[in-house]
Amino acid sequence: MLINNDLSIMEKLEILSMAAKYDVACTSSGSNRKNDMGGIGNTVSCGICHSFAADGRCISLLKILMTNECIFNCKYCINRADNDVLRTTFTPEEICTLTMEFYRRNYIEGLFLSSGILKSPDYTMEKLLETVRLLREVYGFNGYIHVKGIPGASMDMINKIGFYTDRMSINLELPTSEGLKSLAPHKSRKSILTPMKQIQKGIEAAQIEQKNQLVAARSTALSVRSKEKVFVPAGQSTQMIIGATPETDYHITAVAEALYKNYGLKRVFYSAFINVNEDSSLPDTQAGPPLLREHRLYQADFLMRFYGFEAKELLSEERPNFNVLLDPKCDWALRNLSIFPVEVNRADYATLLRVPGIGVTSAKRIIKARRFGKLDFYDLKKMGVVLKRALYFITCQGRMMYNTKMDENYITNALVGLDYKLKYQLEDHQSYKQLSLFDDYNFGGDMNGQYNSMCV
Amino acid sequence: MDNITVCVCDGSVNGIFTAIYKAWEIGTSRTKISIGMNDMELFCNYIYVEADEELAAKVVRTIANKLYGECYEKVMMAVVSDDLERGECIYRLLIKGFKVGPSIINDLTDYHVRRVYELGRRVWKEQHHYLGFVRFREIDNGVLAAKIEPKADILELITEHFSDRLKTENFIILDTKRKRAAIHRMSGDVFITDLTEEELDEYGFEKAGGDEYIDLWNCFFNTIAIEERKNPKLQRNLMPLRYRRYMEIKN
Repeated sequence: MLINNDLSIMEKLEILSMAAKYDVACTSSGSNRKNDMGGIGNTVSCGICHSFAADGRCISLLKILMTNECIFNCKYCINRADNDVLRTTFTPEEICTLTMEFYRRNYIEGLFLSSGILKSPDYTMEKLLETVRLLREVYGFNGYIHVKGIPGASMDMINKIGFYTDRMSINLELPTSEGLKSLAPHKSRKSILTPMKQIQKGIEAAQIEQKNQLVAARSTALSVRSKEKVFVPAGQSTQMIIGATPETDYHITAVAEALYKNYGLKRVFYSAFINVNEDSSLPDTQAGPPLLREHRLYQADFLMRFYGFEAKELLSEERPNFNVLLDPKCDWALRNLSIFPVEVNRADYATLLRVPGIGVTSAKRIIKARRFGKLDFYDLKKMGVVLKRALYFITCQGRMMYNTKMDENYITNALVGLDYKLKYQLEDHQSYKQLSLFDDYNFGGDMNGQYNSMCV
Repeated sequence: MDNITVCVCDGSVNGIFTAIYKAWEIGTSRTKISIGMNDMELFCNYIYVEADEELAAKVVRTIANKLYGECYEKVMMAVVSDDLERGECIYRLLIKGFKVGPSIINDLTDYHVRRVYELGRRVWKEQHHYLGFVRFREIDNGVLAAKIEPKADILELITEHFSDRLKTENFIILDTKRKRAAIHRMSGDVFITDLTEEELDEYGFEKAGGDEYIDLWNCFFNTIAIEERKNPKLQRNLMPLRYRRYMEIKN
């Protein structure tokens, strides 16, 4: 392994941020903390994006590896032991100085610290712990810290480091244990899920503790402000690689659902596979990473987290993959046309949420605004309902917007046109295409805002 | 038939609320609020209302008491936006709102309420963007200085955030459009004052050499993007060009 630790800070930053860029979870949300520690920094629960990189992904945290040395040999990873790349390591002081100086200038919301594996998982965690402890206690940093848990780390290490971080994440990497075995031979389902479970227990214990403190404080009429550290207050997240192994969308969403239910995760992130090592045993991504697939999975993820959908409503063993041309919600609505159209002035919140074109915000607005009077299509439009989707599924005061047939094929045809441009933008813009007399891309459709930031 | 009286104000927060106070005195059925003398109408009396801090404070207090919560927040955000209709829309909202209560803000079928709601959201979004996009540069003696050029007058809103976050720092944020600056001292005092760009440059904002961390940041900014996922349109959607003027991004 080619190791050089005498590089300038700029060179190290370049190598170690390059090595960290494939990690997705760069969010700064979920934690709300005033600056009353006497140092620098606070956190805001909605998170703050400080910049957007050329790929359109939000830059919220200083996302770096502590080191890109690694004893593991995961096939998809650019830092795998077999790769012949220059290896280097930040000292804890270098990381602290960079974080503090970037933070003062308002470049970042905090630190995202991950690492290759030095010697053993616990040895690496020890080093990470040393760094975040220094940052919090000596440098007086009170901003956001996200630390990666290393698969196979011991209970003791997780328990210690959790009190210095806002969020922790351990990457599931692949949805099945077979996939993991073939691509990441040094990791196992168990070495990932055990620390994940432990973080969950720690978070739950901290929440109960906080509640008790609150009750105790109320009964004695004392102020509730406690300056004690809380275990991983912003919760934990994970990520999966999409398209490196043959799992179906159904499989992936089912795994994500189980993670939300059984492990209390805040977020499951998806990362479209890019064959960075040009490994012949892995799928070729010459035509670009599977971005549309990733997008559909995120759409389904939002449907499960905010819209009350279950994985089995969206997909099934018989239909295991998402429709390329229709978003999961439209797709679901078309298979359940019998419940539509719904009357906007009467339908309850849960029903409104099921209508394509109506989101969480507009559904809430509708519920509140209709107390003042009947709503019509113009009002809905002004309230942020996407009528070009919703119009097939709703009535206002008993009327539909246009004379629409409640027919699956008819509505499908109308809706499919809307998503062509998205598909084009995400997947086909680099490749050549056979000219055709019947242009099958609808360039006229307005897809702005369809492919939004994935933060929060 | 009486003519409509239009109360004209300068568009400052105090100005708008004073105009609303005066209009109320004359009678709500016979008055309008206008910011500056645009789109003048026939058969109207125009009176200019000088901003008065005390009268404005009275109006704000009443809104806080009667239309507390979301409605108050939306009004206070909308009032600093750059929309010329904001005075009139807030006025109409208040007339209706004092009868209905704070839930008036949910009546989005009403044109004026909806406009206030939209403006409030727009201003919130802009100030939230600036919380992330403000770029400080270290000038003399470790003082941090930043320039912004917002559409709405959000200087006060963001200063509150940075005063907590950077409690132990000396910093200046300059609104180059309105030539006003927020100054925060380590000791804890914060104030807003008139300051021109030239004055700020005198403090050394444009000094040669600059700040070494700008290059380090740009190195990070450029390496963190994934080439295979390049999407400049998405980047522009999420970080519009107008914010980038003072962000010191180098490709």
